[in-house]
Amino acid sequence: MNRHYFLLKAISLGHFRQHPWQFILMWAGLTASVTVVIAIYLASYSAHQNFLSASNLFTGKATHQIRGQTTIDEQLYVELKQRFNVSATPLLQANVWDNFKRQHYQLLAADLLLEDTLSSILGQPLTTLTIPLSQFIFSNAPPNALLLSSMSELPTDLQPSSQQFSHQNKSFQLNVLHLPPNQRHNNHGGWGADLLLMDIGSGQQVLNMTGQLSAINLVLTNDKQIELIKDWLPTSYALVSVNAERQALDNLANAFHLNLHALSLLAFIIGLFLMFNALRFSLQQRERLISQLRSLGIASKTIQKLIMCEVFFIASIASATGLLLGWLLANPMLTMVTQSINQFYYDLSQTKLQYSFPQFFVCWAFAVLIAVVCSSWPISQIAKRPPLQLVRTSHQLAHIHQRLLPYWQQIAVTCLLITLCMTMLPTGLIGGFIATATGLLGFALCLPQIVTTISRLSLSTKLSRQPLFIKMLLRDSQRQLHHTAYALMALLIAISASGGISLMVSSFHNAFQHWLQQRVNADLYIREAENSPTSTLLQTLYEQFAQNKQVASMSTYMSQHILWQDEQIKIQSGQWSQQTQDGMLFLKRPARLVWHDVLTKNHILVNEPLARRHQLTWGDSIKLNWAGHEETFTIAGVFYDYGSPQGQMWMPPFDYQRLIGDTKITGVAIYIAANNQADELIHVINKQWPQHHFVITQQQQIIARATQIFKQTFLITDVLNAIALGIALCAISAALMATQLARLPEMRLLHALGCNSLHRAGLLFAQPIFLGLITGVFAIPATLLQGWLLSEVINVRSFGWSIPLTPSFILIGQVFGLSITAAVLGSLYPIWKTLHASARQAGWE
Amino acid sequence: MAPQGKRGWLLFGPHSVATILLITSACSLLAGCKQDSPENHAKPAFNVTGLLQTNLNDLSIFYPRVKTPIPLEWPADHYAHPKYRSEWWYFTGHMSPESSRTSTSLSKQQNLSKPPILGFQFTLFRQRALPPITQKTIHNAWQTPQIYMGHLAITHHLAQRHRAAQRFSREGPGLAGVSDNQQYLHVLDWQIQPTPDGWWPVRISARDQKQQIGINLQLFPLKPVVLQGNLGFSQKSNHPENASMYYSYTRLKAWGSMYWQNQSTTVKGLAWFDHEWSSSSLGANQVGWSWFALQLDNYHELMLYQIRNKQGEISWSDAAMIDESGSRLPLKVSDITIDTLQHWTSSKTGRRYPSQWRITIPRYEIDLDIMPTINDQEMRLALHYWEGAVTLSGSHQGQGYVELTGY
Amino acid sequence: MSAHLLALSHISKSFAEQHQHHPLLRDLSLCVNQGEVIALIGASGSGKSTLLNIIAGIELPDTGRVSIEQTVLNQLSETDRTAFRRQHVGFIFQFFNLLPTLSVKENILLPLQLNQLAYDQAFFELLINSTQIEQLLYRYPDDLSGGEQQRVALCRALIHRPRLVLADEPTGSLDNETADQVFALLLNIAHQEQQTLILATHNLQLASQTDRVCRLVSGKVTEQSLP
Repeated sequence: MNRHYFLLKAISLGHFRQHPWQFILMWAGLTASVTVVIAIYLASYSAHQNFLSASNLFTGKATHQIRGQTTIDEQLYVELKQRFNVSATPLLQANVWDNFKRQHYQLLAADLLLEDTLSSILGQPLTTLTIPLSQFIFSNAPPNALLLSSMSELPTDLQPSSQQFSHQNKSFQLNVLHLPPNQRHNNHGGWGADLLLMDIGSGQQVLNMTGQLSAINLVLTNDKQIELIKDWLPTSYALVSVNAERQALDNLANAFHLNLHALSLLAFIIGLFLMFNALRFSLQQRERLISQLRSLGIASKTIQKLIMCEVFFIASIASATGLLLGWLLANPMLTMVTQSINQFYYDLSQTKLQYSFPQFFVCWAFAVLIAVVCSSWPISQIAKRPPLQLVRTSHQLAHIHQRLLPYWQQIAVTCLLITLCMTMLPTGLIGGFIATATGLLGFALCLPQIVTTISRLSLSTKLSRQPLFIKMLLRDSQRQLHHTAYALMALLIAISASGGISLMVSSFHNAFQHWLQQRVNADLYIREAENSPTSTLLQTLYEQFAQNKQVASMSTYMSQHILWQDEQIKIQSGQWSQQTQDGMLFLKRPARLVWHDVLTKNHILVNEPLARRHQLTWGDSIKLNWAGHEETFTIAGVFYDYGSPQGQMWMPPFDYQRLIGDTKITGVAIYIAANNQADELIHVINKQWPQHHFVITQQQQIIARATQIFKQTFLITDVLNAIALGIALCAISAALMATQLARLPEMRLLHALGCNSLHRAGLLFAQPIFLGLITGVFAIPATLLQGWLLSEVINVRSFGWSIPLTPSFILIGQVFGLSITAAVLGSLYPIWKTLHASARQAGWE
Repeated sequence: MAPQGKRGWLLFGPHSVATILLITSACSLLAGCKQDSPENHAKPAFNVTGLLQTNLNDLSIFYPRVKTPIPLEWPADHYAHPKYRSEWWYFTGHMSPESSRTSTSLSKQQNLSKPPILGFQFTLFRQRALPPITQKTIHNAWQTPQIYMGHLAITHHLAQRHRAAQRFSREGPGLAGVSDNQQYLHVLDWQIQPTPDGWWPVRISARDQKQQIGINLQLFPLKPVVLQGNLGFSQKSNHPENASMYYSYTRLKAWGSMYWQNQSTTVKGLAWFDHEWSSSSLGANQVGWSWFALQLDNYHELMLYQIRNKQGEISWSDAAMIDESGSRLPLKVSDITIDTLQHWTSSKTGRRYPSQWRITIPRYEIDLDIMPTINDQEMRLALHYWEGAVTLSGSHQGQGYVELTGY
Repeated sequence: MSAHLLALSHISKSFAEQHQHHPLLRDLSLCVNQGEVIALIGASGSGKSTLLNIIAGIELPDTGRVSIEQTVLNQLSETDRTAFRRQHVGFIFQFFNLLPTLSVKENILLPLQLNQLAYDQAFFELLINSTQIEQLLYRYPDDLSGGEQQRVALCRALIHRPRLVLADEPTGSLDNETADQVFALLLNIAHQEQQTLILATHNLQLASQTDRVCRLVSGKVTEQSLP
C-alpha cells in the first residue's frame, strides 16, 4: 500500500499539485461535454415522453379510432359493441369558452363507466372524488366536470364550484370538481390546455349533440378483428390506426431530435478533446518522471494502472459534475425544445422533465467508459515505451511528427472523398451527418501540412533578408507543430462547424423572411376562436364582406388532417384570390403553369417537405383516402413551405369536397382596398360579432410573430452552438497556451541574453497569431462547405427544406476573427508569465 | 522482463462477464415471474353490500322500497322495474348432450340416473345508479342511470373445469336493458329473448370468445310460477324495508346448444329461473348469504337461503319446498338443519367458502348430502362470489345450484 | 593598476522555500578589475549561479550594491538592466542553451541583432576559426554534439565584445578533453580582448589557471590561492 501510495504521489498527486491547471482542464473538458449531452438527452427524452403521454390522453390504450366526416351516429357505437364486443369507448371533443376567466378549455366526454377510461386519461386510477362516481356521471342539474388543469400546482382546498361556459353561443353551467391533492402530482396525463373531463351523457347535454359522437376509440388485438370491422363499417366512416398516426407524428420529430443529438455530440467530442489534449500534455510532461521510474524498475503495467486510476478518478468526478449541471440545464433546454416542437410538429405544452436515476447511472458510467477508453491508448503507449525512448527532444518529436504528415494527408483525401459520396448518394440523414463530419476532418487533417508548406515557402523566399524574429517565428511554427497540430485542427473543426451552423441559420432566416413576405400577403387573417364542426360564422362573414367596398378581395381556407403513407398530412383548400395564388413560390416550375393545371385540370399542390420525403414531383399521381373514400390526384407543382416540416397538400375546393365532404371554412384572408385602413375593418367585424368568436390578425403581426417563432425555434441551435464554440475556444486556447508555456525556458534564455520584454512578448504573440491566421483563412472554405452541407443535405434530408446559401462578409469575418481570438487568448497568460517571471533559470533541455 | 498478459488492465475476463450476465438475466426473470398468490389477484370492482345495502352517503335512502307485497302481472313483471335499485334475472341449469340416453321430457318422472355433464349459470343484473328523485330530466339516453351486468358460467363436470365471463354496460342508447317493444332484455350481445306478447318460452343467448363458452337455450316452465316469501314479498331482515319482490320458476325444460372451447353441443336438461328486485335487500349488519336451489328426483324442489351478519351468524333465513303441482310449502327455521361439512379456500382470492353440506328436513324425510361437482366454481368477475353446480345424494338424488356471497 | 570593473558591496540574497527564508549570500563584497580572470568555486548550492545572475542584472540582491563601471545595476529598472546586460555582458551557460530554431551562425549573431550592432566579419571569422566551427555554421543546434554546442555558445557570448563575460559552469557538461579545449579558448579570447571573465566552476584544475580564485563559503567570498 505504501509503495502504491508513493507511486501515486509521484506520478499523479505531485504532478497535479504543481500543475493544477491540467487537472482543471481535464475535469472541465469532460464536465462541459457531459453537461451538454445530458441536458440535450434529458430535454429530448422528456419531450418525447411528454408527447407519448399527451397522445395517450385522448387515445388511452386505443389502437384504432373510428372517425366520420363530421360526427358519428351513436347507434354505430351500439351496433359495434353488440356485434363485435370489442373494447371501445365513445368520445366527444370540443372547445368551450369560460365566460368568467376568459379562456378556452378542451372538453372531453367519454363513457366513464367503462373500465380503464378514467385511468388512461388521468394516467393513474382515480381513487376518490368529493362525490361518488355514479353521482358524478349521472347528475345533470348541472352536469359535473372534472377540471384537469395544465397548472402543475393548485391550491389543495379547491372545492367544487358552479361555473358558466359557452359553446356556439349557448351558455351552460357545470359543476366543476378538481382532482384530489394526492393525485395531482403523480399524473402523467400530459394534457395540454386546461381540460374538462365529463361523462358522455353530460357532454351531449351541454354541447347539444344528442345522438352524436366525435370519435370511437378501439383496442383491437388482431388483424382479423380489424378486417371484420373495416368490412362492416359504413363507407362514411373510417377506421384509423392510432398507433400509426402517433408513430407518424413521432417519426416526424425524429429528425429534429437527431439534429439536437448531433449538436450535442459535437460539444461532447470537443470537450473530450480538451480532456484528451490535457491528458496528452500532462503525460508528455511526465515522460521524464516515468522514464526514471521505469529505470528504477517499476513495471509498465503498474504505471499504466496508476495513470488509468487517475483518469478514472478524474472522469468519475467530471461525469458526476456534468450530470448535475446537465440536469440543471435540462429544464430550460426542455422549454426551448418544446417550443420548437410546438412550432414545427404538434401541440405539446407539457414540459415535465422526465428521468430516472438508473438512466443517470448509465450516462455516468458511459461517460467514464468513453473517457477511459479514449485515454487508454496514449497511456498504454507511454507506459510500454522503453525508458530511454521517453526522453526525447523536441527535435525528435518534431521529426516523428513530420513523418506522420503524409499519412494524415491520405486520410484527409479519403475523408473528403467520403464526404462527396455521402452527399451525392442517397444515404439518408445519417449519411449526411457522416458527410459533415468527414468534411470537417478532411479539412482539419490538411491544416498541419498547410502550416508546414507556408512556413517553408516563406522561409525559402529572400531568406537572408528576413528579420531574425520572422525566421524564428516560421521555423518554430513548424517545429512546434507536434504540439500545436491537434489544437489547430480542433480550432478549425470547431470554428467551421459553428460557422457552418451560423451560415445555415442565417441563410435559412433570409429564405424564411423572403418566403414569409411572399406568402403572408393579405392584410387581415381571420379564423374562429372555437373549432366546431358545425359553426358557420366564418362563412357568414365571408359572404357579408364579399360585397364590402373596403375589401379588394378575399380568400377562404379549409383544411383537414388525413393519414397518408403512415404520415399525417394537412389537406388545404379554399377560394383563393389572385394575390393569394401569387404568394405561392414553386420549385422548378413556373407558377403560371402550375396554377393553370390546378385550376383547369384539378391537379393538386404538395409542399416541399412532403415531396422530398416521398420523392414526389409534378406529374406524379397519388391516392388519398378519407373516411373510406379514395381519390387519385395528379401533382401540378411543389411549393416552398418553411412554416412546418409537416406534409401539406392544396387542392381546388371541388376536389376537396369530393374527398373530404365537408366545406367548412376555417379561415378567411382579406385584402383591403386602397385608401382603407385595417383598423376600421376590424372595428366593423368586432362590432358585429363578440370578440371572442374570431381571432383577427394583421399581416405584420403574423410576420413579426412568425419571425419571433423562427428565432425561438433556432434558439436552441444558437445556444448549443455557442456552448460548443465556447468549449472549443477554451479547449483550444488552453492547448495553445500549453504549447506557449513550453516555450518559457526559451524566453528566459532570451531575457538572459538581453532580449527586451517587447521582443519576447512579440515572439509569444506572433506565433499563435500566425497559426490563427492560417487556420482562420483555411476555415473559410471549410465553413462554406459545412454551411452548404447543412443547408443542401442535412436540412433537406431532415425536414425537406432546401435553403439557398447566402454567405455574408460579416460571417466570414466572424470565422476569421474567432480563429484569431482563440489564438490571442492562448497567448495572454504565457505573455504575462514571461513578463513577470525572472530569467533566473535559463534551463533548456 | 516478464511477458505481459493479453488482458492488460481489463477488470473482468470473458468468463466473469458471462457469469454476471447470466445471474442478472436470472434475477430479471425471477423478478418478472409473479406467483399467482392471493395477494396478487385483482380486487373486485364491486361488492354485494355496496350494491344492496342502504348507505347514508350515496343517496340510496332515496330509492323507492319494497315494503309490502306488490301484485304482479304477467308478462309485464317479467321485465325490468327501473325505479328500484337492484334487479336480476337468474338462470341456472344442468344439461346433457342430446345424444345421451338420458331423456328429458314433460313426464313427471325424471330419469336422472345419468348425471348431466354441463352446468350453466346465466344472470343479468341491473343496478340503478341514482334514485329517481335526483334526476328530474334526462336529456339523452346516456344519462339513464341504469347499469347492467351479465354473468355467464359453465361448469364441465367431466373436464372438471369452470369458466366464467362477464358483460358490463350502462343502458345508454340501447347498449343494455329492455329493447324497444320489449323484444329482449340484454347487456350488449347477451340476451334474454322472450316470446313476443308473452314470455315463455324464453331464449337465453350469451357467448364469450375469450373464455370460449356460450349458451343458446330455450326454456319453458314445467311448473307454474312460485311467489317466494309472502306473495313474492321476500323479507330479508327484521327491518320491514329490507325486502325484495322475488319469484321463481323452479323447474324448466331447457334445450338448445352450449359452447365449450368453441365446440357446440346440442343439449337438453332442466333449469331454474329466479327474478328478484329491491332497493335494499340487505340490512345494515348483513354481509351475504348462502342460497340453495335444489331439484330433487321426486319432482320436488327446495329453495332456501341463509343471510349472515358481520359476525358470521345467521341473521335471517327463508326456505320453501315446492311440491309436484308447484305449490309452495314454506318451511320454518326449526324445520331445517343445514350443516357445513367441508370448506374450500380459493387459491386465487384467498376466500374460504363452505363446500359440502348436509341438509335435513325431518318433516319431509329429507336428508341430503350436497356436494359441488367441482370445488372451484368461484366467480371472479366484477363481483366475487361462488356460484356452482351441485349434486344431491342421500335420501333423494338430484341436482341444483348453490350461491355463496359475502365471503 | 586597473580600475575596478565590477564592485559588489555587501550583497545579501536569500531564497524562500516552504514559507521559510534561507540566506544564500550574506554580506558579500567583491571587486574585480578590468581584464581579470576570476574563478568562483564553491560547493553545489553555495550560490555561485545566483551571484552570477546578480552580477548580470538578471536578479536583484536583497541588500547591497552592484556596480559595473560606475553603473549601479540595482538602481536601474528592469528594462535598463536588460539593455545594459545586452550591451556589456556575455553569458555562457552550463547547458549551452542555444536557440534551436536558429542556425549556428544565427545563434552566434543573435547578440549583434539584439544590440543592432554592425556585423564585424573579421572578428566573426576569428571567433569561429578559434573555436573550429567553420563547417557548422548552417547547421542547427540539435545536430551538434555537446562540445560543438558549447563552442557556439562561447562565440555567441563574445561576438558583441562585452566588457564582462560570465560563465556558469561552462565545461560542466563536457568531457575532460573538450572541457580543456573550451576553457583554453575562453581564456585565450578573454586575454586577447582584455575582457573580464568570471567563471563559476567546481573544477579546481581549471580554477588554478585563472588569475584569482574566490571561494564561496557560507554566503561570503574568501580569496584563496591554489598551490
